[in-house]
Amino acid sequence: MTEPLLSKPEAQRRADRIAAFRAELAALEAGGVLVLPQEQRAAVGRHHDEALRELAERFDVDVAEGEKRLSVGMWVASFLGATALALSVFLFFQRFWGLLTTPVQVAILVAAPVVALGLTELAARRERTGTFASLLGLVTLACFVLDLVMLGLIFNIVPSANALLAWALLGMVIAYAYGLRLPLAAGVVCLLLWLAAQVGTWSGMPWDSSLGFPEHYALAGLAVLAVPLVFKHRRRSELEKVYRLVGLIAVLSALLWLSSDWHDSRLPLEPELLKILYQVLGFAAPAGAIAAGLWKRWGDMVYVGATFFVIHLYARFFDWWFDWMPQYLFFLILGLTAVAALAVLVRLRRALAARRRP
Amino acid sequence: MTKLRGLLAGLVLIVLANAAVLAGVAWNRRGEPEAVVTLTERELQIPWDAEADEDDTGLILRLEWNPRWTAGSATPAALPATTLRELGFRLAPPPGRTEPPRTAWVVLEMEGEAWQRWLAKRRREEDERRRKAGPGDCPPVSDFEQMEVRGSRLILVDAGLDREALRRRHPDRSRSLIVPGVVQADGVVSELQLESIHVPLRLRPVLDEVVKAEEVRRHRIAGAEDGPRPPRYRANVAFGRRGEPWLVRVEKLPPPLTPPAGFASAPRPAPPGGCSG
Repeated sequence: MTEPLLSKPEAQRRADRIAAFRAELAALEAGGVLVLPQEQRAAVGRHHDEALRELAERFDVDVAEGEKRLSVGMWVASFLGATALALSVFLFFQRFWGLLTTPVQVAILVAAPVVALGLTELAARRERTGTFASLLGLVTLACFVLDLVMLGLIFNIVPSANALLAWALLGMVIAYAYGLRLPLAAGVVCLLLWLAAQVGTWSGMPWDSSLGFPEHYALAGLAVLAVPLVFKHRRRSELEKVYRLVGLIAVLSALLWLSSDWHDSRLPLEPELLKILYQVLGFAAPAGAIAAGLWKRWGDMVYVGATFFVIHLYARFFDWWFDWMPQYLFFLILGLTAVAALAVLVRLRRALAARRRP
Repeated sequence: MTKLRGLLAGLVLIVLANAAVLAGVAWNRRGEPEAVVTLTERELQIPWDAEADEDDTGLILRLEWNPRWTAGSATPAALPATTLRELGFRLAPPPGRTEPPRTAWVVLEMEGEAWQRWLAKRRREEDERRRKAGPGDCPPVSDFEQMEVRGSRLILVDAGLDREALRRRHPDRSRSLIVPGVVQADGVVSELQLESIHVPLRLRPVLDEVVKAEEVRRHRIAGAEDGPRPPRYRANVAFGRRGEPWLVRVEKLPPPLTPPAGFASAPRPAPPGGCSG
C-alpha cells in the first residue's frame, strides 16, 4: 500500500478512486486522447489490482458498483432480520414465562444477552463484512432490553429511565468493539431518550412525562451532536455520522414540533413570542445545518437539513394560507416551491461534490 | 476498543446492570415490610381482556384504587392547596401556562374512615340527584352502585414528598400504603407509578381456578358482562422500602351465604314510556 489507512471508509474511498481512474483512463484511450504504453498500462493495472486485493482483504471494501448495492441490501436485510429475531425472542419468553419459577425466569433473562453477545463475537470472528455481527449485536441489545423490562415486571419495580442508559451503553460497547453502525444507532437513540428524560427529572417531573416536552429532545439532541466534537473518532471515523444524524434529527424534529405547538414549550415567554421564536428557528436551524454540512463536507447533514427545511416550509404554508386561499392556488404554490427546492438541492449537491473532490 | 475488550465490557455491563436490579429488589424486601395490606378482587383485578391470550402465559393483577371520584364528573377530587404547595406547584402560574406534573408519595387507605366518608358523601349526592330528577324522569346515569359493591375500597387520602412524615400521619401499616405516584398541576393524582403486581408461579393455583371459571362462564353466556358479584379471592400484599409491592399470599374466598349490601337492591324502575340510551 502506498498510504497508511485508518478506517474502512477511507479504504472504500481509495477503492472508489481506483475505479474512477480506471473508467476515465478507458474513456481517454477510447477517444485517442491518451494511450499509455502497454508496459506502463500493465504496471498500473497490476498495482491497482494488488491494492484492491489488499483493501478487500483487510477492510472488505466493495470494489464494484454491484457489490455496493448488494452491501446496502445486506444492511437492510440485517436490520429486518434483527427486528424479527428480537420479536421472536420476546414472544418466545412471553409464551412460556408463566410456566417458570422466578429463579428460572431470572436465569433465562440474564443468560439471553450473554449468549447473544457470545454469538456476536463468534460472527465477528468468522465473517469480515460485519453483517451477521450487526444482526446479532442488535439481537443482543434486544435481549438486554427484554431482560431489564421483564425483571421490572416480575419484581414490580418502579420503571426508571436508567434502564435507557444501560441499553445505550451496551449498544455503544458492541458498536465500538466490532465497528457496527446499527447497534450504535440503537444505543444513541436510547442515550438521547435518557438525556431527554433527565432534563425533566431535574425539575421533579416523572421521567416519562419529561419525554412529552420537545425542548428536552432539542437539548438532548444538541448533547448527542456534541459527542463526536468532544470525543474524536480516529479509529472508527465511520461511527461519527451516527451521532450527527441522530442528534440533528432530534433537534430539528423538536423545532418542527414547537413551531406548530409552541404551547408545549417550557420557556417562560409569552405565547406569541414563543410562536415567532420557534417559527424562525424552524427555518434557521435547518439552514444552519445545511451550511455546516457544506462547510465540513458532511453530505448527510446537508440532506437532513434540506429535508427539514422543506417540511417546515410546507407546514408553515399550510398554517398561513390553507384556510383562506383557493385550494388550487395553494397546491400550485406547493408545487412551485417543490420545483424551487429541487433547483436549490441540485445546486447544493453540486457544491457538495465540488468540496468533496480531492 | 478491541473485540476482546468489547466482549468483556459488554459482559461486565450486563452482569452489573442485572446485579443492580436484583440488589434493589433485595433491598426493597429486606427486613419488615413497610406495610402489609389485605386486598380482595375489588382492589386486585385479573385483567380479563388478556384471559384468552395463549401467547402470554404470565399473570399480572391490576391494582385498582379510587382517586376520590366526584359525583357527575369524570375528574376526581383535587388535593388541597397546602399539599400542592408542599409538592412544589405554583398555585397561580402565568396565564396560558400549565405546570408539568410531579412525582410524589401518595397514601392509599384500605376500607378505612376515608372510604366510609367518601361512600356516605356520594350516597347523599346520588340521592340528591335522584330527588331533583322527579318521579316521571329517567333515573340519572351513575356508576355509583357498581362502585359501592364492586369498586376498589383503596382510596387516596394524602400525598407528600416526605415518606416518613406521611407514615407518621397515617401510622396503620395494615391499612395505609405509601406508594410513588404522579400528581398533576390541578391537584389530581393521575396515576401510581406501579399499577400492576406480578403473580409468581407458586401463587397461581387459586387465581388460575378463577380465570378458568370465568372463561367457562363467558363461554357459556356469550357477551357476559361483569355484573355485581362478591370478590372471589383475597391477597396479602407487602410493600417494601422503595414502595414496591409483592404478593405474599393468595386465598380463595368462599361465596357469601347472604348477598352483601347492594346486591339485593334493585335499580329504580324506568318510567312507563321507557328511557332512551
